[in-house]
Amino acid sequence: MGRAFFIASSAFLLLLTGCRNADTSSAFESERTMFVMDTAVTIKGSKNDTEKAADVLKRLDGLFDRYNDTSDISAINSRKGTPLSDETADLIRQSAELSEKYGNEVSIFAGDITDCWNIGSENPKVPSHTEIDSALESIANADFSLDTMSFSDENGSIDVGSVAKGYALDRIKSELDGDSCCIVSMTSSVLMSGSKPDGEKFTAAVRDPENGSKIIGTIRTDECFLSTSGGYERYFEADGKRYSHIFDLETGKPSDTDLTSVTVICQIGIESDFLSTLIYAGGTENLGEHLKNDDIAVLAVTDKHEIYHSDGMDFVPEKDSGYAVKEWIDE
Amino acid sequence: MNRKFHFISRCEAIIIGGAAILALLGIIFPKLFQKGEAYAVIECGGVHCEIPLDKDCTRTIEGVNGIFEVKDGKIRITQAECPDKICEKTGFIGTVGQSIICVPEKITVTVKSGGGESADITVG
Repeated sequence: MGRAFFIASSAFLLLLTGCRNADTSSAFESERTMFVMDTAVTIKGSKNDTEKAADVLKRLDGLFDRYNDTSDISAINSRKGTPLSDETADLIRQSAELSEKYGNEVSIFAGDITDCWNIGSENPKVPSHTEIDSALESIANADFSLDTMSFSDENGSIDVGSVAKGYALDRIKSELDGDSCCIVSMTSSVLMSGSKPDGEKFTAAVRDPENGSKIIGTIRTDECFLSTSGGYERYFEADGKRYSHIFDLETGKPSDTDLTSVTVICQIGIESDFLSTLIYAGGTENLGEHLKNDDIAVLAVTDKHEIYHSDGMDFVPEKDSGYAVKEWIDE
Repeated sequence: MNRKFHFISRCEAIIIGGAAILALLGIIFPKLFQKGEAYAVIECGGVHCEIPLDKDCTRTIEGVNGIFEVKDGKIRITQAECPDKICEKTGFIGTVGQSIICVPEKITVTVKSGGGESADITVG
């Protein structure tokens, strides 16, 4: 009997070593959550990578936070004329290029609007028509020089909220160790880098924009940058109405769009961040061209519970979510 | 000749076979052998706390400004001290990978499981 017991337990143990652990998070050496750049950030990766990522985030937060008196952005807005760090100048230049390439619907030079809605403070408010007009006028008259990196007069102010996270992820990516698997999630922008230990694709569950506790499907992807706009992002409520933080730069009011959430995947972080906002604000009216852009993969959710996505996006819809994947038809 | 048949007695054969079957089951149906079911990880500043989701309860955590409720395998923030209450409005979460975030109070609540699959991230 003793011998049998020995053989049995050896056999059992040997077979058990073949068991796989499908839980990815335990495959990372280090997992860390921090609050920086006005959002919750989760970093998973090797100890080395998570430390590097955390350092980049803290450094850039110090440079880009317009509400921090010592930041570069704050210095530009208060016309201090102090020299800027290379990264701030780089961020501004790349943002201007993106606005030129895709349109001014998203612009870092619209700080006056976020100001008049008090976004970023504890008391966002609905501004008067006069306040909005005044903000729009300041933006229209603003003259920013990319050479001197300054405004020529008191018109205009910079708010990098629409691109800062994507840019931060680009900087992190450039500092990571080769192939090592690392995931940096900044809630609305994510970097999934390297390859997963089990060789599988990365998976991103997409929330129902109208109900944060439900999922409408899962995106499967190789390493990439992914950004989402709309949906469960920040908003505030006043007099029973919900106001999103994404503004139409022509009216100075929250974007009037028929999309409830847009997710963009691409190989450049700042571009994914910029485009998710632009495509969301543009509504279904302008969606077609973005769905056909081969450099990116787009998933767009409408207020009629339809889901459209690029051919290049690997999306697995969730059963019984109340949403239906539709084929895009140009009109 | 007889000796060969008694190399392993019937009793021993049953034990070995049983162990092999158990091990195979462990590979084919890992959920049966995993420790624990879904649980929630609550993080706030330096506080890290894990709450099982298999027992209904309402609780607070020292160092965290919020009240949490577990019901029917899901968890939610019933009360937070932030101004916008977005975290409260998120409601119950119970699927592995889902999370509730309260930025002003720096609280994150994430559902995890002892094993099995979950998405790497949740967006939107």
